[in-house]
Amino acid sequence: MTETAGEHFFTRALARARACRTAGDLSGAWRELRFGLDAPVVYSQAATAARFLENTSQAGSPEGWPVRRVALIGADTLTFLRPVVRALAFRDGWWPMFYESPFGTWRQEILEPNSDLRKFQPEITLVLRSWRSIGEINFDPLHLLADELALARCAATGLGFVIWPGYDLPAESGSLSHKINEFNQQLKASLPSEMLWVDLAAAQAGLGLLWEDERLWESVRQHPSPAGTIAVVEVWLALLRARWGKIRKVLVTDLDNVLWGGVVGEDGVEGVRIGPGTPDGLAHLAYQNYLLELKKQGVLLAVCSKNNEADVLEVFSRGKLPLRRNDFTGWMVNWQDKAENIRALSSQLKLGLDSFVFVDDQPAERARVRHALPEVAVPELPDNPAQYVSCLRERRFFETPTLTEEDRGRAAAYHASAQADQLRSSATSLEDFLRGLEMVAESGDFSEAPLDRIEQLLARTNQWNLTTRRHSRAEIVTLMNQPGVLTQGFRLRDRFGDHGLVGLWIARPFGNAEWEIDSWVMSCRVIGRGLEDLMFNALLDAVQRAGAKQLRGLFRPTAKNALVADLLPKFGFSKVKAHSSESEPAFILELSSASPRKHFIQI
Amino acid sequence: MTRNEKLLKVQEIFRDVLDQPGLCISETFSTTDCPEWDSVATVQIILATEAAFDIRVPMETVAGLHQVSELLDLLP
Repeated sequence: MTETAGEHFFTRALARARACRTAGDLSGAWRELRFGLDAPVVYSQAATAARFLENTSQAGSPEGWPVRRVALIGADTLTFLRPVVRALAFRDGWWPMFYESPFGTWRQEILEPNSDLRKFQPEITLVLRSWRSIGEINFDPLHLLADELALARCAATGLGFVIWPGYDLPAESGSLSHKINEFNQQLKASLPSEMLWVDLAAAQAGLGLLWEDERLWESVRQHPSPAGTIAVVEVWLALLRARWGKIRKVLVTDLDNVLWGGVVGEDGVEGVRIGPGTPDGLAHLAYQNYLLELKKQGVLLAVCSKNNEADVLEVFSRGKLPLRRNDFTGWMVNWQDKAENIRALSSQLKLGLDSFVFVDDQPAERARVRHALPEVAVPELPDNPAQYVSCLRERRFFETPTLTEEDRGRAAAYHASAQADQLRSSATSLEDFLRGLEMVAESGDFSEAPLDRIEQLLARTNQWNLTTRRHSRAEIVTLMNQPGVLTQGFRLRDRFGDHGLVGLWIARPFGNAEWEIDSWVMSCRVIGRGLEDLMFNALLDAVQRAGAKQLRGLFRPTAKNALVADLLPKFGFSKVKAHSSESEPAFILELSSASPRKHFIQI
Repeated sequence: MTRNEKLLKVQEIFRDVLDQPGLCISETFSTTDCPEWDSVATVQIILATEAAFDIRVPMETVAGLHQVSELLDLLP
């Protein structure tokens, strides 16, 4: 096996991490290892990283990192998955505490109320079975389906967030593959809605024959292969990131030798290579098409490049590129430090640095951004441009479980928002600015709104979010059906565009003639427009009509929501003594003394 | 390459895989001496040995490996 540049990158980072550890610098050791995991790693490296982490973490997980209780269950040997989950979760910034069902016991473990699995009280349960476990018996899809659905129904409570994938397929297609396919489709259609189905056959297809390793299966019961194991864990972790609202939203790309072949400042506008004719021209074309695909999914594109802007604009104006200047929402073509440019993009787009992925072919630029802005994801790109796209795809940065209409419109909405920002700097007063936007809002309870978008707003909104309660779809439906619970979603459009559904609140009865604000969120796209004032008025109106005399609110602080820390007092709520059982301060508003807020939005 | 040279080269692999930079192994070093030498470590040791010596370890050895001498016996 020959080592690729990526493997060397990991090996060197591991050596630095070990040197830090020897010198007693634990945080340095973890930082270096984490950088090392920015390169695509092979199985052995992930396992080595995991052992390093376990050996260095005797004092506990890295300070301040979220610890999650993770159960691994299934019909095959799961021992081989665990180190990969440890290493890649570390890369993603969290720390699993593991429970693994003893071999062959997963059914009992789910069904028995007092099993070790249930006593462990997992927050996340990852299920894995493979065609290997059914390939050797006379397999009846209907029988297996009944069996798995009974298990899944039982697993739907008490095991946290459950990922229950389909089966993978044997390498040679035949009647077994056919039966498994049929089984997977049925399973997908009938799994309890609280759990997540995922298509492993898709991850498998990406690896082809590398999915299996006959020798390791026969000798130590490792299946899928080492490479397959990495792919499975990447699928799981992408789903967890989506679940926790940690999806990347912006791709920042370099230009020379990334968006096109060659250096425009040296090779000239005529000399840059794109499209057929040269091998690297095709590779860069594939990269541009990938970016276009991301843009259609709602990912924002930005340029960050050290070039003369005039050269760059001329390349774009020739119209030979699939991407146009207008496809980029952020534009940093200058000679400044790239880390500073990305920081500026973050405030321009009003998105946290942890929403950014930075793609650059220069190792020094990547290292600079990694050190200066550790929240930004900086994949260690392969040397060969033909591998850029697969390297980015494998990391699954932008994957969402569902793709909604708002996602597709996001780039357009941000363009509108950038134009609105320009208007803001030209309008003389804030009031003039807001009036000039000609905003119109529509609202209605959740039954009138797309559930995908509601779920997504709750899962993704970090800044303008009062309680950061990440209700799952099933929990939202339950709330909607509960008597007394009030819900409302808000759409906003202005003279520049339609922002879609960008805000919501949920209020539920809390004792006698009192309602509590369970959740109140607003998309960062529309911060500073006064939509919160309109939402508040609608809330007052709704709870009063339901018979409330008091409205209760909570502010649950997170690392990101300082923006709304003072919202409740500002809106006339007064702080009450916290009950001993709750850590967050509660606020009460006497509705008799509440007054509606002024805003500049038409309803 | 003498058997002792092979042992030293294999020792580097064990140190890396088990994340124990100061580890010293002998021919009789086995899974009972080292609780960290689990099935994941066995697979890593075999993959690394195959790469370092350009060999292919047979299936029976993968399944049964629990002592250093068994690995040395395979090396050219």
